[in-house]
Amino acid sequence: MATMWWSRLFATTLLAGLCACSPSQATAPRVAALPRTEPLTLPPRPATVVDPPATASALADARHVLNRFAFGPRPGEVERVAHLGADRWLEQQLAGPDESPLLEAALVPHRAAYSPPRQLVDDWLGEGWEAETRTQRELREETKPFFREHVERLATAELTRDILSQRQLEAVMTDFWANHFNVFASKDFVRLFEGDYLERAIRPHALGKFSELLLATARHPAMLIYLDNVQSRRDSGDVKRRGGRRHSGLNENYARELLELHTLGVDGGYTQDDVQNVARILTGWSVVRMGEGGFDFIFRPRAHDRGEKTVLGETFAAGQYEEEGLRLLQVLARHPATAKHLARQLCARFVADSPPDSCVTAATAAYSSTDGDIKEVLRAIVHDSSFWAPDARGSKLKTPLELVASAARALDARPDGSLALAQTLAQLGEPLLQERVPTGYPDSEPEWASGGGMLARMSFASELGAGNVSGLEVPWDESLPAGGDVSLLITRFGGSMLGLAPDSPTLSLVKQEVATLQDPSQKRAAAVALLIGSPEFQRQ
Amino acid sequence: MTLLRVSRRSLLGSSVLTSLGFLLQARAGRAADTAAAPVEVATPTSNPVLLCVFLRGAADGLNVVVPHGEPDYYRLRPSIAVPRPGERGGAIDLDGRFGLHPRLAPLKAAFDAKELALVHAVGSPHPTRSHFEAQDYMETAAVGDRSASQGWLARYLAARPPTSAGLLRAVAVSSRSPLALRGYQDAVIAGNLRDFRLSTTGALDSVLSDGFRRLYDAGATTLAEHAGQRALAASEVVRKALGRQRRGGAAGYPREAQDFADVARLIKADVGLETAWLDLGGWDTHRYEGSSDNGELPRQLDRLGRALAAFRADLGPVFERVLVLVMSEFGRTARENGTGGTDHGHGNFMLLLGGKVQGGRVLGDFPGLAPDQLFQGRDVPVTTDFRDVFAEVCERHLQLPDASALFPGFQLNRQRRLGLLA
Repeated sequence: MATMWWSRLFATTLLAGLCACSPSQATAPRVAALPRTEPLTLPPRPATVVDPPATASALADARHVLNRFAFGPRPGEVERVAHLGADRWLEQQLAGPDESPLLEAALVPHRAAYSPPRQLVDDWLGEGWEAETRTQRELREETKPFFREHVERLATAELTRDILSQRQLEAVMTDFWANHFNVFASKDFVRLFEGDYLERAIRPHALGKFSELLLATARHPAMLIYLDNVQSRRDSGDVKRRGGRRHSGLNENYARELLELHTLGVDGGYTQDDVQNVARILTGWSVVRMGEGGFDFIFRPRAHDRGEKTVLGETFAAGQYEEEGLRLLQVLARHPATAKHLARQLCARFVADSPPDSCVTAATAAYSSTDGDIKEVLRAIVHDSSFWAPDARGSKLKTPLELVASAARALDARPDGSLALAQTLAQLGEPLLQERVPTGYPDSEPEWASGGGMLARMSFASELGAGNVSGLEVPWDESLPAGGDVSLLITRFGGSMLGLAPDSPTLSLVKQEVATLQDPSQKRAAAVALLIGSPEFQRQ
Repeated sequence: MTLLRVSRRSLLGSSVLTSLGFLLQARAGRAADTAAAPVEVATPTSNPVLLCVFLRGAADGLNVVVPHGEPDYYRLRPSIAVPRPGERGGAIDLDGRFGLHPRLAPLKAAFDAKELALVHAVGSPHPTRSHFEAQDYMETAAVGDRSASQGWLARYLAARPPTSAGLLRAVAVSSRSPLALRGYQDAVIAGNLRDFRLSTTGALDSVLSDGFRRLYDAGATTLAEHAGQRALAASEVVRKALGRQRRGGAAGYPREAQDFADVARLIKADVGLETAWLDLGGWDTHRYEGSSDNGELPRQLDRLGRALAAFRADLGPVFERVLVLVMSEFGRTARENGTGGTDHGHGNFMLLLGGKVQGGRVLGDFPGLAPDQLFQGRDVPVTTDFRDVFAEVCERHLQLPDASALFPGFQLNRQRRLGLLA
């Protein structure tokens, strides 16, 4: 314990040094309201930080931040970040490092995943398709054969980014927000918009202002279609039935989830009347139909409810049209309940399933004082002592996505461009972009720790060790040459990736099991399987 | 596993000897009219089995158990109401006031055999219209307590000594752990029971299964480790019980409902299963809900109806000791919304199907759909607390002497019971 405390003191000193030139002082979050647009200039590092070989505690700190703010360490990365300093690494990530050419190359086969919807349809049906395809129904039928592959490609592309991107924090936060603002790719035309949604609504704002992120999702066809706002119209008295299937009136689906999930939280103090009035304010927020040019956001004044509305005690004067919705989103983004709700979710993601009060308090304050600057909220979390507490480390169970991405990174494996990677993740219970409900995937151990889920993880590890996970290429001869001393391999991997001592029970056990095998490649396969499938590797 | 060729009648005779006696109450007439051709079943044991089916997303009870006798129903739902019995696509009349959605036709035989009961205007007194909050309350049965972390089925399993030394007291087919079982760490939970096994590559099979077993035995201090440890131990039992038969087999389950077939096999394999849990998604019908046909709900009900009917037929005589309890977090608005669907409501239906159900009835106090009869002017009210139904299931079907401890903060009142079970 004493060394732990020393390490914390040590890191705190370094943080204090950083804070001297940074507007994000943990102790005085109000200062952080200053805009942060220039790259951070780092102070000269104290010599003591660099000179000695990385201490065990510096390595542990590095492992901790790489597990939480990245999809786990790649070979040698724990040591590199230990030398650099965990907080300095984080600042680099917040500033947004250049993207890796490796990733650019790996995304080439998946470029179409992020095409805007019109481009996708042009590619699938050939230019001039509009001459023959007139209705939504025709378009649905004609594009159907392309959907499955498209969604798998998109999931593979996202996972490829998680594995290879140098902008790890951006990748982690894109996953977080895509889940927070979940849309179900297989509902209707959402598939057509999902790539655009991730690329143009979520990712650019993943480390930006929450209000801008909220607006980008609220106006995006993927969200408007998924939560039915696209058809929501002002109520005009009795429900009409025209032509048998046409309906006209209010749909409160998006309004409710906007309050409950996206902003205020279920305890945020809103009423059923608020839900209905939010739905009324957002009538007219829709998507251009086929025959109107198709695909983009449109505000439809004739669908809009022009009466006066009150939400959370604020009056929205009659007849302000689209402005009402824009103002509403500002009100929601600035609301204290939103600050607290988001702070809780972020602390649960980055610190512990039951977020510590100190973290929530610090993150809430940072959010409120910076008008929802996501970077400042993340700084507040990492500057809170709860993040570094011994009992926070390794306390979170990796989600299946985090397991696959971290296993691939730990072995320096590369996606091979095939779509099998998306299927692998689906087998583990987390098919990306396929969660049907607006809550998105859960982020806590009790939900993911099922027996079937654990067996699937061990099976995945076994396949990975045997080199049978399709979609991933492991450069065995570079990263883990067979024929070498497999005990050394186990010691190195266990030490660097998991922080385990060579004679720890887990590593000893793996060595014993492997020693019963003769063939060098089988030894390696078994070692990798048991290490990746071990209880320790499931945690972060 | 010994397989006996028995008829339903002889099974009843033999199991009574070893049972807690509840089979004595089975109506002799019913046993006679369903006595089927001899079927293969495992040596019967006596323990009752509960299968919970959770319809995630708030299934629209008003279009499942259709109040066709209420003129307001047709006024409120001009485009999605299920027509009256006798009309084209009309509801299947049950008692002159209520009818089953026509896609649930496969269940009519069970209703007529008094093995199917429906409850209307049942639910949680909590007014929340949040899916996840309402689901959580229904699963913890600690209504209003956001911090409750234990599920009601877990509490049941803790309260009752196991009926066998089996590893399979509780099974859930769900990609993640249902909250209802949270706190009972030995549940077998898998998205697909056929995948509930460690798949390793030939030559390394024994090293890896031995290695993983030792790794997960070592500490087992976390939920995940414990789940891994138990799963490694139970996977062989599950594999053997499911056998090699193709998924679904001959019992006529719909393609999307193979999980029902797997649960049936586990029950028939007699491996000590007491509670099973299935999650079915896709009930959040905000638009294009449909009436009798052409919509989300008819499609969903078609699968559910066929799955439940196949499950009942598949179990044959064993069905006598099985109860299926179908629930959903809340109902939907009485009035259809502007997009041919319904929004989040309040009171809902429940469905009980089983050999011991006092069925053939629609139970519960359904006040009607006039404006002053609706909850907050828009929804079916809750006149039966879901915990009263659960308690009756626990005490009458599962033979727990006193279910009070399962429902923290809720005063059980046995006078209030609906008499769902014999």
